[in-house]
Amino acid sequence: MKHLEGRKREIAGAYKAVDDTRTEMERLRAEYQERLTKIEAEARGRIQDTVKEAQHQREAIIADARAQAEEIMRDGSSDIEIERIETLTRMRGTLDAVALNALSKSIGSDSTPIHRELVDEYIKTHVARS
Amino acid sequence: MDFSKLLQWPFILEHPDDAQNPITDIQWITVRGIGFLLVAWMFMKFVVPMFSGPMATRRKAIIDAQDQIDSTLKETESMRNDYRQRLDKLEDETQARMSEAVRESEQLSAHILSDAKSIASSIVRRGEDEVGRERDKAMVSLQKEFVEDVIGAARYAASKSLTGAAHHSLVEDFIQKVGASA
Repeated sequence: MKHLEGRKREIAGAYKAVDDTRTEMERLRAEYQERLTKIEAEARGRIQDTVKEAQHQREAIIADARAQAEEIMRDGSSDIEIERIETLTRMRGTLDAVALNALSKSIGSDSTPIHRELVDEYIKTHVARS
Repeated sequence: MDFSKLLQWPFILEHPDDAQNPITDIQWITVRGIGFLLVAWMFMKFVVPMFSGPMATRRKAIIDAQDQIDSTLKETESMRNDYRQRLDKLEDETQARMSEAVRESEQLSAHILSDAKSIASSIVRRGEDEVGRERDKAMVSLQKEFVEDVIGAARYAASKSLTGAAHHSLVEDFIQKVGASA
């Protein structure tokens, strides 16, 4: 009987040891999982913050580029207009000579002062107005 | 020797020696011994197996249960120790995960910014291209206008200055040139 009681106690002790160990293991696992979840959340939070910041920078860069492009186009239009006026002036300076040259080639003889007057008259009346 | 009395009732325990049926001690012990061995043999043959089978099964079940308990305990202890170690190393894991997060976020950030720069340079380039196209268009328009002015001026001067004879001479020259080329 004594031996059986001892054996019984031994078995109960073994079960208790298993239960205690399992309880502790469950507690440690829960703690581990909780801390891992927190770490993961913190890591995700950091990544999201950085991405958000990068998105803001992206928007700023693109907005700057758009402004820069608009400025380039505005300056370009202005430059084109200046260039157009300069080229037009230069062309008009040579217009009478080129027209006289074309005229002499088409009529097959050198141009005369009368031709020059007529060309100048045309330039005054038709070209200079435009 | 007369064993008739013993054979009639072999389980008689008292010494059956009397004056009419003398039995020596040796005889008595021999017969008793044989009887005892017979009973023992029957007990071992038929009675013991009735208990030894279930006892062995029970013993095996107890041993198995003990083994299972030991195995479960060992396994649980192993898992518990594993979690303990993991918790002890969690600081390192935290650092590693944070470093990884920083690296990942830097990569994402770099990608986003690189993409933004690419888009930005594309926008600027489109603006420059647009300006270039406008400039080319303006220059072509100017050249066209210049050529039209030159032709207009030459035509005007020619129409105003050419006499009938000159017209005639030009027409003849043209006909000759056409004829020569034909």
